[in-house]
Amino acid sequence: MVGVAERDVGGACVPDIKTAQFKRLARIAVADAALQRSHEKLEHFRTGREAMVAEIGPAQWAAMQDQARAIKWHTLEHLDTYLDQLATNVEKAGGHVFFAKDAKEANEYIVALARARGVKTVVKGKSMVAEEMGIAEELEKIGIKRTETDLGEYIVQLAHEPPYHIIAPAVHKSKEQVLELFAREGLDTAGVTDIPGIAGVARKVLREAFLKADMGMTGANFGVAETGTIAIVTNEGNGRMCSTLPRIHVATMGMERVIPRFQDLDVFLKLLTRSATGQRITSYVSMFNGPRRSDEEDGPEEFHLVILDNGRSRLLANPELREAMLCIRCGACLNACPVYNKVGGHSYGWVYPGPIGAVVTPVMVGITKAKDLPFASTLCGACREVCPLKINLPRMLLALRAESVQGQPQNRSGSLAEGAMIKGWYGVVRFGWGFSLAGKLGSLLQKPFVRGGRFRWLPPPLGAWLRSRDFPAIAAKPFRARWKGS
Amino acid sequence: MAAKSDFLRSVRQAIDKGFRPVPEAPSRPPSRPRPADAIKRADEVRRQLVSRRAEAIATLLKMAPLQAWNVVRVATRVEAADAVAAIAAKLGAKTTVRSDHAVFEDTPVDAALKERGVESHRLTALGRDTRKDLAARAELGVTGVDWMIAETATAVLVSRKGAPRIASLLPPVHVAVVEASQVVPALGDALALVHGQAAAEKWDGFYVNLVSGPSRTGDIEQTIVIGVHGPGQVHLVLIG
Ligand code: SF4
Repeated sequence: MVGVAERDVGGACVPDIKTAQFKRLARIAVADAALQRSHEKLEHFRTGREAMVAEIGPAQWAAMQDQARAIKWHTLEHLDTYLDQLATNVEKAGGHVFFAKDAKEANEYIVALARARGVKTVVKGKSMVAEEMGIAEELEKIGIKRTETDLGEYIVQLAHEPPYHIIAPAVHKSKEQVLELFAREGLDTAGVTDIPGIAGVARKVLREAFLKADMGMTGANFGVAETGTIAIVTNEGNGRMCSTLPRIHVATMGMERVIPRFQDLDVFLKLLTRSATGQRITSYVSMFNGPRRSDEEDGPEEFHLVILDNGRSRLLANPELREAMLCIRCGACLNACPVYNKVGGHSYGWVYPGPIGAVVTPVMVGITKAKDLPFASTLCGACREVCPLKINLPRMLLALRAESVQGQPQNRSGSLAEGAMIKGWYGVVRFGWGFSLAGKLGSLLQKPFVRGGRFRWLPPPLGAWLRSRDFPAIAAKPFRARWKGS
Repeated sequence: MAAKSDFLRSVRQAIDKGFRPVPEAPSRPPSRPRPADAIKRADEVRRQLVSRRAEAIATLLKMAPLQAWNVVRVATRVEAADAVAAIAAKLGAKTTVRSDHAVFEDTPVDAALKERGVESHRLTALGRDTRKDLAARAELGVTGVDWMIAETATAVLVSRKGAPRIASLLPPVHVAVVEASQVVPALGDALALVHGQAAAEKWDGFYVNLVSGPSRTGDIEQTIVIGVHGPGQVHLVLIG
């Protein structure tokens, strides 16, 4: 479980973070054979995504990406206006909106609400923003029983661990481990041996929790300014439960999740579900903008939307890093990243792992606390290839590296040569040569170090961190090249 | 509210501070909600539906099995009632709950179920607590839909009087009864239609669910398991 101690970090308050321990955590993960095996399961996401892009057709996919990028860039340029519009429309529908500048403010609001309404139990859907806030622990502090209802989240709650992956929180656990965990927690696992059986055990426990909870919490994949509509995508149906059964519904949303028009949901939903899980659409997309309508027969009596900054305005204020605000948290860059596939989700030390985590975490928690994260990448470009928003993650990682190296030249191995190399790369990517060339260069540079599909050598400092193990190599042909049939 | 204006002011400062022109998204003013446009757009989509319907239905019939819907096609509402009863009987269901969607008006759905020894409860006719208890206990939930999206085999369910949220959520099996006139080609069409209706009828808020198959999870070892919290089995009865 993410610790409860909160620290003030450059104006944002975040739960206990372990980002400074990246090297240590990465080494542990690399040496853990079971974890390494679990990473192979991510192949499902990768092949699923590729099949979905192929089904839509690369040209159409590219057009959707361009459309989504244009909408998002435009939204960011008017983010204050659209957030205002969103809030106004939620209020019009009878909901309440709270703008929280950091996790602490957001938690205080929700805790006060729960107190005032006499809430005893809370059912929670998956929300990375809620993880960021550490709301679960805050609720438990005042004696409220909190139940994670996404199966993966439920598993990591029982294991007292943070999520391993932003889409698949418990991907690192084998079914045997889950069974053992359930048994240890006193769940009735008699006669259960297979995965459907395990899911059935969870279903029973969680159904009870849904039916008696006072408050339901969900995240927000998108917030539509025009109508105040919050859209969440789920497969299990826990999002529907949380927004239907309890008398109070609280949704938490990162402020970058806003999109201008209801119609924009079309392209964003299509990009999100295909990139995240390789599905045309998730089993459910639930949309709401307030409590139940006056003529409805069920649904919550109260609806609260909590919109969180928590360091996001620092990303927005940085012209080099603003592009990270286009992110729709699909997780595709995690699945594609050779480093994530080696060090796993917990090494990054905070809520957001993988390439996107390596970019946003240093800004959100402070670069001095996460100085190694921008180096947790081979700059192979695989993340950018699969990103539905075509976010140039390698460029931003380089920008952060330059900052990290400039800040503390003595602190790492091979720092002088490395610093020069990074600045050189950064120049290439930033000025004119363009990413394609740099990417090609990268795969050429990578060639001598790859043998039998595994890295034998990694550029410092990764080599030093991950010594003694080989590393999955990047696909010879980037996806972009395969589309073009080259 | 101070919190809100402070928040938005600091967002504005951040926008200005980090601004750099983006060639792929030239600056333009923010859009404003225009209900009249939403209504017009929905009318436009509705006008085109007729000519696109045959193709949409063909797409739906292709996609529905891929999304794990069990599909039955019938000619009339009366036959649909029979189809619903047949599904219930086959499941060995004792109790069903249903919504009051228009598709059940003047149909013998309750009678057809009763004939096969299945209790049928209209959720709307029940008190709030009984409604929830019964829905949680029922083996089958039967609803109409607002629209059915062909490209992803997605039922669009707008929650309203006569169409409570739990009808398609709590029972382990959901039967959606769809009329051919409700089939639309794509997600964009359905969004336009719902939005247009909300604007035209001045809804104070709206809760919509897009349902594209059974509840599922891949959270343990990426192995797909059907039926976690929502219905694990879904049926589509298509009329026409
Ligand atoms: S950066 Fe791109 S690929 Fe990574 S989570 Fe965000 S949207 Fe998905």
